[in-house]
Amino acid sequence: MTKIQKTQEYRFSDYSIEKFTLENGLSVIAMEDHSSPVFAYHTWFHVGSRNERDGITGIAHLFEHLMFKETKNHKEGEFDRILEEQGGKINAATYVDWTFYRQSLPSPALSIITELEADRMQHMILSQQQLDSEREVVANERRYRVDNSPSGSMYEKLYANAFQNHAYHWPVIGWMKDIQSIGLQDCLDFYSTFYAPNNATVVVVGSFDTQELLSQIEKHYGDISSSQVPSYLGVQEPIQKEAREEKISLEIPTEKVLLGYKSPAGTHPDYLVLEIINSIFFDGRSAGLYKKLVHEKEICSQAGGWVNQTKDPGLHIFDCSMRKGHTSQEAIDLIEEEIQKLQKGNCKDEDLDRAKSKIETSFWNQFRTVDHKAQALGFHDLVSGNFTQAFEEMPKLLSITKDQVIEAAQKYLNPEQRTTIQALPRQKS
Amino acid sequence: MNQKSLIPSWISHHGIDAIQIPKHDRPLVKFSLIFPTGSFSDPLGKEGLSNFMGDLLLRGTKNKSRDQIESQLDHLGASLNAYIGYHSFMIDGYCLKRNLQDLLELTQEILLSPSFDDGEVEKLKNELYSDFMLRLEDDQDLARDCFSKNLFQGNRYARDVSGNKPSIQGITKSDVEKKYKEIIHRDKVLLGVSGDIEEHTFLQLIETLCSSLPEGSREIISDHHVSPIKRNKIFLVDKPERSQTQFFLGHPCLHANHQDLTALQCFANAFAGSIFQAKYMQEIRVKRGWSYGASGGVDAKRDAGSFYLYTFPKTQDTIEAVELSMKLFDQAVHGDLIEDQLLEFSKQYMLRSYPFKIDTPEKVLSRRISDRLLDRPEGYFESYVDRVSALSLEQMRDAAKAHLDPKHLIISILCTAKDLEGIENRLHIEEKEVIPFDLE
Repeated sequence: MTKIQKTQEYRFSDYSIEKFTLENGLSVIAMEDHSSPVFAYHTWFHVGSRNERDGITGIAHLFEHLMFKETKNHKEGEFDRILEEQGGKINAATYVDWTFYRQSLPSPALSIITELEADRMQHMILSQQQLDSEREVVANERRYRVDNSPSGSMYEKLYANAFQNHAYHWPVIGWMKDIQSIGLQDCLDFYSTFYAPNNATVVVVGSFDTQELLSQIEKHYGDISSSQVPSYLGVQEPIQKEAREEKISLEIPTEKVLLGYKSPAGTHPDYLVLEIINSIFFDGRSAGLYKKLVHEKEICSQAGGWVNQTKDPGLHIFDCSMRKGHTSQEAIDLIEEEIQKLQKGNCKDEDLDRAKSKIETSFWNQFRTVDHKAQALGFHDLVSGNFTQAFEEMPKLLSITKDQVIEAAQKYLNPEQRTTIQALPRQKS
Repeated sequence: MNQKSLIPSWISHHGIDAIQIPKHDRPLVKFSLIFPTGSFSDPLGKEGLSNFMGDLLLRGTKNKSRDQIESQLDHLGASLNAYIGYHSFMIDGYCLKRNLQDLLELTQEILLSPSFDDGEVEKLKNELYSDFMLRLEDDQDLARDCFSKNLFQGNRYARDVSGNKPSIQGITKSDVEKKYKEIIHRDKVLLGVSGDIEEHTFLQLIETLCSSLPEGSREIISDHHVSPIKRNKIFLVDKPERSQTQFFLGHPCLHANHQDLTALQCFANAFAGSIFQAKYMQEIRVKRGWSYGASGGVDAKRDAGSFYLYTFPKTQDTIEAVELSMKLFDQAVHGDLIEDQLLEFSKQYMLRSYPFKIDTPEKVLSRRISDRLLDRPEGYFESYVDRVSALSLEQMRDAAKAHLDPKHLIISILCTAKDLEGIENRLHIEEKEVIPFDLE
């Protein structure tokens, strides 16, 4: 029998959260919550589009789809059928740094999901026909999310321009030419390289007994061999020294603009300061930039922002849709003006307090369901390196000072570190 | 499954029907104050008036400007919104528990002494025009809007809750004030609260929010008439350079209180529900890889409803996908596409996934409110498991035969119309209409 070791224990509110490690390297995070007879079972893998290369972009996402196909023990379609028979909800997601598989299930299904997830971690079977069929689905997903979506097209351009060397350059869903040419062997290699217990964290939240869970985990995952997962070498993105801009024309009624400023990695202390800045600008109807762009100047129909929390340095993004008769340049000028004010020290206590209040509400709101709780734990285990960050970011955010805000604005929100995508309405012929 | 006894019920307090769904794991409270008058009450030519009044309500009181209100809400980390449905006008508040009292006082002031400022009336009109423009970017929305309008032609469900450009243009401050008086009063008002709240605070909340509301009398407007579809009709919502289409097909169907609803939902779930085992998903996505999503179901509203199928294939596969959808629909109702085993599977799924309908206080509250607004009898929610358990395969098939009609369809496709030339001939559809996507 393999050994399971408890490696961490943490208390949050009325909950106890424990982390365990198997001998083969599999991490397990367990959080009992008996308020409803359901549980969430997530399997997070340390693999995303950052682990791809030119020619096979999109393989992490395509492979996520293929993981629902066949294994040595379960024929194609059985995985979904067995879980839906239990009343379960099944999904998965891939991003730049991670891939995760999520199920929400009624409590009696614990042993079923443990067996199924352990099985597909080690016994996937893949045929050319299965690959080709799913390739079509993914190509169509790309048409839906990117090619026929103004916003999707703009985000793809933004990352492609902002990152020249790093893997964040290409879209998570992949370039269409790669989706259409990824081969069966590419997929098999990808599976054998990255789908291993020592590259995964299982997160279980809800109504179950931890001892029973550990016994199931030991039974089904205990014999899976760990593998040599190659260290992520990555590519250093050179420091951006001048503004990058591109204009594109799309089938849209009014102009749109995306601004992406280079931001630090999600584990860097300044990341949280940028979160506060973003909240000062956009979180709530009285937030500085939102109010100016949408209500006071009435130049935008929508304005928002977000800071991408990634393992490597990412982007702080400003996203505006213009009203008829207004150009995206007007929004850019106004955003620049507000950033400069902040850089010069114009940060009011009341703005900082307001941002913190909004963040505190959002913090609690992210723990609505067992699935949401599992997502927060899994995300932080992979991206922040420790699941406790799901809870510990909050007090850190609340302690951020005006000086830190001003300093971060000066450091990151500069035109030379900015990439701009302006979308203009296509001229009618 | 025996959780139904744990679901709280409505109480009557000082003449107000109210419900509390407590849960204390997070220091958040949500309340919904529901006035059962919605967009059905908007006069012809002034569609969107209730929605307009709801937005304007939050933009100033006799003592506070819009800026002051929005700033106070943000400082409380709270949100306060007005949501308008066909049959209801809902004020939703959400905040940290420690800020509840402040939010309640602000809500009371907003409800009782709105300013309906002239400047804000004009600003809101401009904002709504911009929102209408923005909606032109969303292909799925465009296909769905065209589908709904043509499905319910002549019925109030065909009207957009937000109105349209000319109707918004015609709204005056006096219209808004009249609508305010028509909606904001005590008659038949409902209050729901969920989250971290104690019994005494709940009772206090009922008094704060409801006791000061003026007396009034509310007329409940119904509209059951839906014209039958005489022959298949296809609408192409024409947008340039689409490499993918979005299509809805379906027909009017039963309303939310029809006795066959649960049986039909179970059948529809087997055919085109959100589960992977559903036939439609299997045929469109799993077997053919034609689309990332393929789903459908019964959308049962209070006075009428619809059955629909929805998917989004690439342009080149569209005609075949519509053709297959029509064929599958026919085989599902009149043929042997839906096996007994799949119907049983669908039933089990509905039973076993029941805990996810009640796993958060917000979901329970939302179901309780929706059942009330749909005029469902007391205990309807609690009887879900019994109703589904009692379904026979025969009942499900009979419901499908009685309420689904694959021969009389509205088909709405967002596409580049020239790419689908001749679709009506290929599908043997008598009527086709091409509508520019940006037609005002």
